[in-house]
Amino acid sequence: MNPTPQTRWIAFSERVYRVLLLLYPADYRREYGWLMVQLFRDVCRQRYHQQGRIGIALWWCRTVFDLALTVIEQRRKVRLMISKATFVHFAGFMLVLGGAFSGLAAFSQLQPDDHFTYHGLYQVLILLWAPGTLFVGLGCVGLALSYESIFWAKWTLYLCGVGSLVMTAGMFATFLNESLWNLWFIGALLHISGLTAFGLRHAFKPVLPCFRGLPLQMALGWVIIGLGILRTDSQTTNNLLSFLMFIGTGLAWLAIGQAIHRQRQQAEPAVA
Amino acid sequence: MSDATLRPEGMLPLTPAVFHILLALADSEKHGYSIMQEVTRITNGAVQMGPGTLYGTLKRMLETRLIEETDERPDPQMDDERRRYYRLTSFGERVMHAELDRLSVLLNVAQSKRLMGRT
Repeated sequence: MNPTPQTRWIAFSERVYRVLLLLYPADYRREYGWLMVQLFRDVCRQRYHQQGRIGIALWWCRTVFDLALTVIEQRRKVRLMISKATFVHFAGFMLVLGGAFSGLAAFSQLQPDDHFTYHGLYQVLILLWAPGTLFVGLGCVGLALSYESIFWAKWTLYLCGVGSLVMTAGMFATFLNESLWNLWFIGALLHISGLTAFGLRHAFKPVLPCFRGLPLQMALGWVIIGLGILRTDSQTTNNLLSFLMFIGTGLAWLAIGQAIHRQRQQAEPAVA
Repeated sequence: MSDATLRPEGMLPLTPAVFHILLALADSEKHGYSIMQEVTRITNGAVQMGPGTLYGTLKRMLETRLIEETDERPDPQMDDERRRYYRLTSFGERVMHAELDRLSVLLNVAQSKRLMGRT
């Protein structure tokens, strides 16, 4: 039986539409591609029946416009999902790195005398704090993304992470212009506020795979040093206290990061 | 999380596409083509969705649990088995009513300011 003009036009339109569907992300195409083709064909039949070839041409105009908009939308979603998933996946690893750098940077506090300026090896060690706060910040943001359904954890971890990232920016800014150290100070305040709020709630309702009081202990360390609560007349004792607080915080992030990394690896199905 | 614990207010205001699909599914479950026809009908032809908009919106609505797929067929003899049917969830119904309430408040405001029927 020879195909009628109606079926020829519809079959041709359908073939072209199938090719255009290649513009959508593969996952979306697999799930909805055939349904979209079916819908497109149904409307083609209806339009041909109502208006002939003009009807199909008008339907094509609408479809091309719709396709252009929705391809962009679906592609953008896939990119966002990949970047977010990567962030969440590497949160633990970033905290391990941040903790390790911060732990090493803590040894800069053992420089004798005051710490207005650092010299020699101590200067190298204090520079490690920049990658330390950077990775801790990224790790905290990754954690916040993974706890999206827990309101308090999400926002306190965001605050903690963003504060840490501002501290990093503050350190780089201080290299350029010493008067910009205030930026580091603002970052530290944000970080400590976020960590304190998170630590207080975590003590009662833990979400991290670690000792429930650990985040609060880290926050208290910052508060004690920041407010100079245990400050003495001896510079050596003050330096030692500062060292203990910073190495404690660094090791705590390292331990939390390692526990999270291990937990994520166990949770993910093994790839055959 | 069960549908009962989800808060409809968090979904408002709805996009026109989501709201129209909720209205189209309010009385019965439907497949993609019949949702599209129903949306065109209830808007007197003012809204005509393309396949990308329709299935992109349905995907989002499935993810946010406003609708669900159903295996039941209204009339299996008359229909293509491969079609997917969608229906409102209880959460979807609550969201639709919350949006209708929101719009009716706005309509009341417009009426009290005598803004209706000026065109």
